[in-house]
Amino acid sequence: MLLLFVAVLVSAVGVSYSAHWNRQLLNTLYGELSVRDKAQAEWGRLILEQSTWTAHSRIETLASEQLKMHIPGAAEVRMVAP
Amino acid sequence: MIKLEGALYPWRFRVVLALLALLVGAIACQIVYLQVIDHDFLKGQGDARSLRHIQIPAHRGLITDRNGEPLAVSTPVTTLWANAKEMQAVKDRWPELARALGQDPKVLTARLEQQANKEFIYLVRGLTPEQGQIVLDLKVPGVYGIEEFRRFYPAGEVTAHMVGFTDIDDKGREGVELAYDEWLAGVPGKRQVIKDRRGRLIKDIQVTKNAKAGKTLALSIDLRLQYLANRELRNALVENGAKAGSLVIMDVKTGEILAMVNQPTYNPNNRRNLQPAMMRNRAMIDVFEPGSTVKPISMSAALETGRWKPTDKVEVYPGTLQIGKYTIRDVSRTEGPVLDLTGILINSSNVGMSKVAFDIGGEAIFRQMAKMGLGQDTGLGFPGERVGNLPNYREWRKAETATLSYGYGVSVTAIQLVHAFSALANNGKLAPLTLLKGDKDKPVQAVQVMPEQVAKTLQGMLQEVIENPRGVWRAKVPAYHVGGKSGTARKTSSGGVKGYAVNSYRSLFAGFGPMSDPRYAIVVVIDEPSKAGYFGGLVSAPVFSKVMSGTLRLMNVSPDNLPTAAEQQAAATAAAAKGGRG
Repeated sequence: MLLLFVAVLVSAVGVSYSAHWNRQLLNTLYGELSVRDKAQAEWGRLILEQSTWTAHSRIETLASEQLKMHIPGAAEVRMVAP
Repeated sequence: MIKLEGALYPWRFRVVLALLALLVGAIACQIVYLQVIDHDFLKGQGDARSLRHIQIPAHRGLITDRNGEPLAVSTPVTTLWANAKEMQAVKDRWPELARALGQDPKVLTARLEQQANKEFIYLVRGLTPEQGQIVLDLKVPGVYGIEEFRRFYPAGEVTAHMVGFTDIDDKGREGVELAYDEWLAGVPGKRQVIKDRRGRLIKDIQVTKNAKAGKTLALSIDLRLQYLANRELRNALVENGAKAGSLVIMDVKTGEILAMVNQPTYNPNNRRNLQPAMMRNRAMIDVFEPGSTVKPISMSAALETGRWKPTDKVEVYPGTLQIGKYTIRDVSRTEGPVLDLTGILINSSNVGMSKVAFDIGGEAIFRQMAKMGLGQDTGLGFPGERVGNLPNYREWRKAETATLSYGYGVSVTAIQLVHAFSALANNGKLAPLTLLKGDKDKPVQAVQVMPEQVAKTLQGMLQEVIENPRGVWRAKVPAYHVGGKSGTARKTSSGGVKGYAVNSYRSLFAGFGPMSDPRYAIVVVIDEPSKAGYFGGLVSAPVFSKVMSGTLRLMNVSPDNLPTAAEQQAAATAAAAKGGRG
């Protein structure tokens, strides 16, 4: 009888403890999720920024105007045997 | 039992006792009733008043090109909504809210008053999280925020037709976004919370279902080629005063579409000025008569019979051919009264082609075209894709046979045309088309649609079409041998008028390269060029040359037509003498 009583007591405490623990974990989860969302938003913005800076048309103008690069003609190509 | 003998009125005491016992019994009954019998109903009612399931939004999958460059990215945004009923109490704060939202206070007031009895109205959708937080920090009663996702398209208009776009609810509406919506869309999760009467969150209880993020989709297109194709096509449109155009690049060995661009195009990130014409993915939606570009396919049917060799001669004099009431005409003067089969392709002689077709019969050409996918379903499942039309007659009369052999009376899409040419380029093997990046370990299920020898012969003939002195020299690619065929098709008139429109043409070019081991097939379609001319060899061939040249360079294909060292030396000396670089 006593044993059962103790068991009931322990399980009662266990229930409230696990509920509390669950809530704490949930809070941590939401915290992490919001961190993830922030990171994701940041990543999306950076991707957009990167694609603006590396837009092919921009790179091409930079290469041909600032760096004076050009595509070699057929006569200027030398094949190198591997 | 208590002894009641000493009591003055024992029966009174008994009555009181009985009443008390009755009360206890009644309470016990009620407790049992509430706790045991009615428990579920009451618990349900209680939960219904406070327990809420909130959706956890799922992240939509990324769309990338074959090298992992992002083409469509979902980023979280904040959407603000209002309980208009609740907001009627704080009318003095409306102007402040309107300023924070960047809306006209009068407009907002009118809206809130008109919808005064609504409990949910959107204030503004798709703000950046920072902007949303600023408004929420005002703490205007009745204003709430929810998290949503918005799609951004880093490559913008360059991939607009291919990738498509999603609507404001993050559902695919066009292009790949629609075709693969199920794969891309995540499954939203659910979490259980307790809310009070005003909808304020009291307590999180549990996550009942985790949100499952959408899967990443790698397309077959190569963003570098896509940019290149888009730029060259746009330049060609401007140069020729054309109305529209499309260009498709395909890997002939794997069936992957490496680039598919259309003009005019639109910016999927800002669709305010969107016109329906801009949204057309012309490479798949517009059907046209392929004209002379299918002559190589008719020719392959002739070669396959074994009765024809490339050197066989056909008389084309005087450049016209009467069939019943129709007259077949050659567009340009041919180089002589008699042409061999290669000569028919070089001069694009309709008369010569028709005579070959009469010999082999219309059905042989029909079967060859059907096998190569012209006017057939491509199996891509792209939204709005058209199948075109390849008519089959029970009896092939001369007029039908002739027109089919030089590409009239049949309608195809640009994607079907490039697919058919891929079979010529891939030594007769037709690889199924795909918009998705192929698996390197999985072998391609290619179908042999014509004998390898026939395809190889045709490759040689098509190379001659470009490299012959009378050929389409504008399609030449420096340092590489390529092959192809130009075409010009009159546009059928619209608006109920039968026949062909006057002075409205489509300039076509289809080709592949490098000849040493064909890898890439390209089709260029330019709609209604209006400036310099309209022949495919004039308008579309230079685009082919530029795009093919860029493609071969970007894909690191070794040149197979380099000038010899001595010629290079001579060229270098000449350049040095001029005092400049090539």
